[in-house]
Amino acid sequence: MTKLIAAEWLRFSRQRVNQVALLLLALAACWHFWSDYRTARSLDLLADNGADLVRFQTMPSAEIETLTDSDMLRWFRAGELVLISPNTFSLTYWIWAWARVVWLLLAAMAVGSEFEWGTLRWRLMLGLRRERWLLAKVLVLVLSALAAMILLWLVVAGVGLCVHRQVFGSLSWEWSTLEFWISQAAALLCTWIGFWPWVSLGVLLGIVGRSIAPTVALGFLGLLLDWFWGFALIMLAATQFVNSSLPHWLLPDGLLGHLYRWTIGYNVAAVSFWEGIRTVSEPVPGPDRAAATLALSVIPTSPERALGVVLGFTLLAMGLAAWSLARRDVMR
Amino acid sequence: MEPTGDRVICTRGLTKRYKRLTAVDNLHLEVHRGDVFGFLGPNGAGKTTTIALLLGLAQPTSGTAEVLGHDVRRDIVPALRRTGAIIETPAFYPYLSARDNLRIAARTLGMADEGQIEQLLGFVGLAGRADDKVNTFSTGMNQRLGLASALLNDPELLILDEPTSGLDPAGMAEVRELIGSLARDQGKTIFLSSHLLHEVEQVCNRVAIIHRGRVVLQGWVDELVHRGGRLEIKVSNLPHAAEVLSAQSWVSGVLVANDRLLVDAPAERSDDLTRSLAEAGLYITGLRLLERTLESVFLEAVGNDDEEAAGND
Repeated sequence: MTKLIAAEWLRFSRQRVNQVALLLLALAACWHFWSDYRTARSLDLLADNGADLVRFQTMPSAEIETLTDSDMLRWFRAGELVLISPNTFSLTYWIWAWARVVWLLLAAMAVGSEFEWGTLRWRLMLGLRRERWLLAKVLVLVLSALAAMILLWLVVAGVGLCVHRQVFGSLSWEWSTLEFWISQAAALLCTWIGFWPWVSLGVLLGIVGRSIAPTVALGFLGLLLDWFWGFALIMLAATQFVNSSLPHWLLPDGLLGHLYRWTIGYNVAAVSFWEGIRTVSEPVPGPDRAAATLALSVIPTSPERALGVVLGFTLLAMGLAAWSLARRDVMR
Repeated sequence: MEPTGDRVICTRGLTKRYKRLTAVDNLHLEVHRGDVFGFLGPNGAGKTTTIALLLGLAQPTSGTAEVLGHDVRRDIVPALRRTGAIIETPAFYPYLSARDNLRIAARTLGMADEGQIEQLLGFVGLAGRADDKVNTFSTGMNQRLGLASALLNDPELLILDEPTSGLDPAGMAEVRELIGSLARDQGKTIFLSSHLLHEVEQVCNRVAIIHRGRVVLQGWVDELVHRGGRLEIKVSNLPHAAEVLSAQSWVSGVLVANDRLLVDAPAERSDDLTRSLAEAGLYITGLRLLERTLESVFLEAVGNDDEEAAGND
């Protein structure tokens, strides 16, 4: 199996689209810090080595109520800025949300292209068992996600520390405690688990689609459905305040909400924000923020249940993929 | 001629249907160790589907097939580990180099030593392009890389589907020579699917002709080419000679053509033919064996099958 994973890794790591995806994510992370830095400067939050930024971000709630309107805006924006927090993992949460989208598409392409190019047939002719091919593919996809997360974390942490030094004039390592690193590792694990159902869905779609274009299209369709559903529930929940005549099944505690509790995005968001395992500052904009994480506020769930759904979905998708592949003629 | 060894490929009633289309129909095939077996048929005859069934890429609708003693339905993988194969134009990862593609093949095969890759790249004439991406390769170069991949595990059995497709005449000759030497010098069994009849005639010792998914003819190339051979004779009294020869049990047909007789009889019966005519007081002034080619055998077999099909319709 090691050699098979090595073969799959060679294939995966040399593919240009994968390299470009990783580069774009790294650039997006750097851009995020740069954008925060510019916002902080424009709001004059960086004067006196960022004294206002620190003050606003650590302000007790009682003091917030005494702020003037103009300071209220600065406080609100300061809460969104990630410049001073050493918790680089949670502040790059939005990157992982996009990375999951990217990995769904990479998984779909990785499988669809093997059918389209005829390379699956070639590998099977070499005496490769179908289930081993599938396992190697999934393992490399999820391991590459982990490698990408660590790599991006290093980039983000490096850039973050540079910005931190720029803002505060010196570099403090007070935050680097054992608890902090345990929290980071737990956050890494929770976020990594969030990749699994998306990758397995991508693999399943690749086997169903058998070529790149329909597979990617199916992947996008699944993502849009997931996001749209979350948005719709939030909008309906908001509408309920002004229009109480909405049918119950449309509301978050109705049928639509109950079914939404089984979707991937929602449960991945719930696992990612597992209270007690990781501390998350206010999540910044991203696909999960846009739908699933907001939906969490109107449809609460337990992280244990969410983890069960995430793992269950992963196994179900993998089982279906293996079953479908075993029955399929590979003529091209 | 009798089979020279044990069976390497054996199918019994092998059938593959796709909804209304029967791609392979009740196929009985036997390939023995050391054979260079030609699998002939027109386009769409079911050659590639048969190979896909033999390699476990497609599941048969009914019937059985064994490759190197392994049932293709139950456990084909151990057989594939001892087999090298090419189907149609070989496919590789287009963004990887020839060397990296072979590296992937070696790792897929679980090979510990990847040193053979360099040797094979040289063997198929791709040493100079080993680091070029495969998407810059011509069809012929892909074909060569396919051969290298098929030979990577030093297989006992080679299943080659149109291995000279896309090659120039020199390349085709090289591959034919290579196939011959693999069988001759290394004792490999080769299952060669092709529609190039002269190619098969040159390198194969046994052939099967498939048409509309069914085997219409199977046997030794020498026997098929010489079976029911035609002798052309010149003799003084043509009608009398035709009468005498028609009475012989080993003569299947006599035709008077201008000043000569065309006699359908095995070539080894030429002595008997001369004697029969001499006993009737007829003396031959010329005798020539009109040899059949595999092409004529093929066209006859496929043509007969078409006629039968038309008759059944």
